[in-house]
Amino acid sequence: MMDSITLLDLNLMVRNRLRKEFSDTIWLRAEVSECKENYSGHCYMELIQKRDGSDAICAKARATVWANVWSGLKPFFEKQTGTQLQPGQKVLVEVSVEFHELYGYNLVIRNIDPTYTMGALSIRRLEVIRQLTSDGVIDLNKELVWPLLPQRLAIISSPTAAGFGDFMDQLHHNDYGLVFYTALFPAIMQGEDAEGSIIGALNRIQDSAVDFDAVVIIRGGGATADLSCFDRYDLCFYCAQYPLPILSGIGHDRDSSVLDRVANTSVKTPTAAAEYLVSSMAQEAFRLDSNSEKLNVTTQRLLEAYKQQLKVNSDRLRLNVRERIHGAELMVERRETEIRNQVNRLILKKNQWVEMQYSNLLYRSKSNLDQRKHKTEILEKTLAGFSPDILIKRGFSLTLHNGKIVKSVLDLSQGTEICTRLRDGLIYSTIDKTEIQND
Amino acid sequence: MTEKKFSYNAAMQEVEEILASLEKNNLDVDDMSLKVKRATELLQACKQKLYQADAEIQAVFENVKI
Repeated sequence: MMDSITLLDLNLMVRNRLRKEFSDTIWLRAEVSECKENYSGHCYMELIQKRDGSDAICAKARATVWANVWSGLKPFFEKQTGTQLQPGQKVLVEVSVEFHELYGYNLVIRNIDPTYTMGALSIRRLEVIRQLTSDGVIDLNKELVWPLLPQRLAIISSPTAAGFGDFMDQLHHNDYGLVFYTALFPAIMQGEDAEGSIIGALNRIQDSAVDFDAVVIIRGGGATADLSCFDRYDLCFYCAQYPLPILSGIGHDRDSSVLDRVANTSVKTPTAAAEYLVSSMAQEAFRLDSNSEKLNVTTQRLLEAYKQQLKVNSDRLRLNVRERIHGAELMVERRETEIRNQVNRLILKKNQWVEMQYSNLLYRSKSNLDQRKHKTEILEKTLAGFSPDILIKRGFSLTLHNGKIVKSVLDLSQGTEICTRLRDGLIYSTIDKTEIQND
Repeated sequence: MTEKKFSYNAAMQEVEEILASLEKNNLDVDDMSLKVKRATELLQACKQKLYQADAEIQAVFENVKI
């Protein structure tokens, strides 16, 4: 049998050599590829190094943070970087190199410098942002007009995430009773597969882009906060050029991811995303209410003004009509008076004329009468010359029969007694004979 | 009002134009009542859009989910 040693001997030898060689702690730059905290509070990691410009791993080591150290380092790191220690992160850690005969090579982490991680993260982000800027796409989604009514929403989330449940609850049970339509496009929201999965969801949404007002990318809940996928160039390039405005609420407190930079609108959490959507809509609801109110008030005011105007006009009309009637009445009265006066004047004139005629007539009849009287007097005088008494006195006689004047022989017959009147008396005789004489 | 392609934005703009002309008070009574009627209808339609689920859109979304 050749000289040989046992595995334990060898491992113990390695352990002793290493302890001698690496008696001091070393500051080490590496990338975290695994990071798990166990039940007793120790943190187990896997540190790797990738070849420059490639994903090929060229070095790898296990590392441990003992619970007594981890309980201080963890909050310190998270407070400083705003993220949890997680796979994909570049770290600067102070380690002691250890070797255990049973468990092998292991690095025990004593301390961590968070500024290195922050720097690495922000350098990576800045590189992506610079690239997107030089591509000319960085602001494209931001330049899309955020919809007046972000009502029809395509949600990209993990269906089981607590953040998704909170978001949906907050959105659909909003205080205003506003209606939202949501369609979930499930995607993996962390880890290596997230980028491809989210791009896949965006592709599916684009097939029916006209049905949506906006895309909401939310992520929340769960212990780990691996947001590195939201800094990936491909995803951010895709999102920047997306035709629908994107609202991101990917749940982080401190740094913003590149997705937040390119998204049309970015908020911190899914709940904040729901609040933002509700408040966008509520703003419109408020505008609607205020316009309704304005319409009411203005209409009332105008109606009141029209009513007032109507009243003024009707009053004016009434007054006008009354004035006109009054004017017409006055006119009629005046005309009446005029007519009456004229009639009176005419009557007076006629009366005068009649009087004149009358007096004329009177005068004329009187003179006529006087003339006649005069004539009659003359006649009377003339006639007096012809009276029987005068005639008898002149020598004429009158024959009477029974007291009546006899004018014809025919009235008398033989034997008839007649009386003859003369100037100085009467002769009674009886007729012997009559004889008719014709002239 | 036609049912096809109701645009909330256009409706709201029209409402605000009507309001502006009402506030300027350069309308006669007949125009006013027509405009008020129109604005009321538009506001009603806008309100409906905000507060009442549209079955047609709902149906589209049901399909999208599948």
